[in-house]
Amino acid sequence: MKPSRGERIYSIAVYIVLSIAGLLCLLPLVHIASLSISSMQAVASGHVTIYPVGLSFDAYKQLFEGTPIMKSFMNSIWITVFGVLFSMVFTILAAYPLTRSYFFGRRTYTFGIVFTMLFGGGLIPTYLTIRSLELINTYWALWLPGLVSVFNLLVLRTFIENIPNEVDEASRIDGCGEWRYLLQIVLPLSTPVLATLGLFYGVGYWNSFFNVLMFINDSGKFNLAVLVQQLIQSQMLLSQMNASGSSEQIVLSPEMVNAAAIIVMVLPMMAVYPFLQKHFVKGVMIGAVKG
Amino acid sequence: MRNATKKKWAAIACLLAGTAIFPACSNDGGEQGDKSQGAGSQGKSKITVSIYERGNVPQEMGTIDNNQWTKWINENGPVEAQYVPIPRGESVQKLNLLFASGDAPDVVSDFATSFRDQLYQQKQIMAVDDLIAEHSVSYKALMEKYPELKKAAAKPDGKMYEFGRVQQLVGFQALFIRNDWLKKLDLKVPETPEELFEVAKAFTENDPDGNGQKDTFGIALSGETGSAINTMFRDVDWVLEDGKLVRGWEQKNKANEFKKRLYDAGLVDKDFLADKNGQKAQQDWNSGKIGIFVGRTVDPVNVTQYYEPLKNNVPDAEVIAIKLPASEYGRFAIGVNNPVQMTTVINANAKNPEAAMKYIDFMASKEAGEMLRYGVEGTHSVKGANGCLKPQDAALFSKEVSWNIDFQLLMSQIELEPCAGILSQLDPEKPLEKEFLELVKQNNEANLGEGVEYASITHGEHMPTLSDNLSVIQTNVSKISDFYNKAIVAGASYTIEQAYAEALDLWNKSGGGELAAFYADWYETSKDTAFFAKDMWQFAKKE
Repeated sequence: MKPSRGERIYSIAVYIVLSIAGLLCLLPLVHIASLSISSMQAVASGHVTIYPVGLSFDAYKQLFEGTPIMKSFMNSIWITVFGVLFSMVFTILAAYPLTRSYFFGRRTYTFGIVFTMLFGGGLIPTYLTIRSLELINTYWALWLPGLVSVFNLLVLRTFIENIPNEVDEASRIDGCGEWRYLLQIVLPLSTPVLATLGLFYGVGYWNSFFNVLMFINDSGKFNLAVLVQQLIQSQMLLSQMNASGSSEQIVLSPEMVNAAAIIVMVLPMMAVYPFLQKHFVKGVMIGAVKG
Repeated sequence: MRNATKKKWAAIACLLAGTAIFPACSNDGGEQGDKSQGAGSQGKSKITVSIYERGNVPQEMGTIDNNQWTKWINENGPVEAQYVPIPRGESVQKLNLLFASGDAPDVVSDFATSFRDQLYQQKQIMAVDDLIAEHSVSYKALMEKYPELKKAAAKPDGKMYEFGRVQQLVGFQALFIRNDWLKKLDLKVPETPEELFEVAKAFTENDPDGNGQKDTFGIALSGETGSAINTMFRDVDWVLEDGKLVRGWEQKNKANEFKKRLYDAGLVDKDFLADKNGQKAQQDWNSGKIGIFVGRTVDPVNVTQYYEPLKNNVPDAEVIAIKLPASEYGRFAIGVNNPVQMTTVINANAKNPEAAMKYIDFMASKEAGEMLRYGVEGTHSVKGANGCLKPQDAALFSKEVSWNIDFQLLMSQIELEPCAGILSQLDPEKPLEKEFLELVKQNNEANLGEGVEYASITHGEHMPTLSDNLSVIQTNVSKISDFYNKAIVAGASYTIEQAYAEALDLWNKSGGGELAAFYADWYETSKDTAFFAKDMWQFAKKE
């Protein structure tokens, strides 16, 4: 069937709008990438927009030699890998029972879990709790308080609920127990949603900033997000403080070094996306259509 | 946070952790262990000290809280200091949290005067008069030499709460102008706002860079240049009139009228409001598109910020640092440093205030100051022709020494003079640095010379503390600048008079009167005791 004139105009319009939206997201990133591989001269004179000017990798050299970026990078990976692992394990273990109709009191549990979405403890009480558990300065302070995200838990529960009950009955007849059913039937059937949740958790841990800032008091344990923020903030602060007449003098990291740091920070997540994308699209729609 | 369930899971996860399935735990514990050993200083009392984390310590040098300088301090100092890294960008937030939960370090340094004032008002820090009298040697000596330290450290109850550092008074901001453009267009250095306007006009319209295009701006309006125009008209919020400290509305109107004229005549970047911190203006200056611009001449790094890129782009560029033109309100300094800068306080809950005092004493000593600033003589630094220590190998120095500046928050540079300022740090052998040296000298003259006064009654960091209530008012009335900005860009449809009327309205509605009464009162009661501009000028270099 040939699209009508109206449809064609409509889809052209859609393409144009989406392209503009895409460019709006892409261009700032391209600009930062170009800054990071331009010469200092060009950056200081404001000549760099989309294309790099005076190709130079000095920024990366300076970044890797002059800052603890490798250490922070490894810390970020550590936080992310173990964080995702823990979060996934416990999200799965929490979601599965809530889908079983024979689980006593599952409504009460579900209500209890959802209820926690409504309020938080506030920063200082949270800090005091974490301190009394002696988790300050350990990554457990990042992993444990947000171990299971209620939203992710509900997404997973809904997905598992949608697996036909007949699958359960059939496997029971073949003598399948709870663990085998979970591990060998439910999880393989849930790969799209697991990939999605893994990505949600992964991005969350990778970008975790505030918790690291507040609960970690050891320079050697800061992650990339904190490092990059400090590099950039030192520069911003200087100009703000100047307005209030402060005389803080510091050695600035040039703009292009900051740009390089941003690139190092976003690259791993960007690299992961394409591999998970096909699951991602499927996974995000979970629960959108009830059959 | 989602408490109930979280706790349950937390408990389970703790069990998991306890069984040490994951190597993470043992790893974390291990690092903690060696840190306290590193210092090798048994028997010294231990204190905790805050240190800014800026992410600028090269990896091989360790971390900001454990490196060769912390080791040196702990080996040579009287106490063992354990450093608590405070991320620079969020320092106030982090320190607030630490204070609120009782985990704050014994010795806390922060540049933000308002934050230290807040700590004082919350009674989180201790009065230090007795400590200094009984346990201090080098800081006490410093205080005797520079009694202004005492003046600046005193809080409203009359006691001292802060420690600081003393520096020579120098020109901080500089009004740069393209002398080659002046010569080419046969203009002279502007002496009044009117002449400044004419020069800016010529710079915009008469194609000073000779490329046949009208692509230059006479003057910047964003960032520090904008502030300098305010200063030119003494638009500094609080001004003295007949011996009373009052709000300077008339000055504010004059300054903004001038800016509006510049804007309406098309002599400035139309998008200056979008250039929040003046970065765009700086880039335009560096690429030779702006004729008058405020930069800095206070640190060797300023050469690469404001001068080197310009000279690379426009090799013929010739820059001079001029005095701020004299307005009907007087001739003012563009911007100077704070010669007596308060940085450090002692936590009211410090277990061992005496040890904290000894640490501060040590960090304020000349011995520690020289070591931290120049590194090891012979390795990092050598004596130059002028008899001052300077980096032997720039790369090694920046890798091993230059990032330790935050350990120098108690170092009084003035004690190291004439070797501490930028004048001794630039190398006259290098043509660029030699030219910049000239700019530094011109700027010191422009800021500190005969007939130049400081526009404000004192440096911003020495203005009095506002109570919570007044801070709210202050924040509310800060929107006044939006009205004026609107007036600058709105052409004929919204005039400065209209902006003034709206500003005044907001001022009255928000309780600006209370603010005015507070400042007037403060000045009345402390005009003999507070730290004023005349005190700052005590620290200017005497020829």
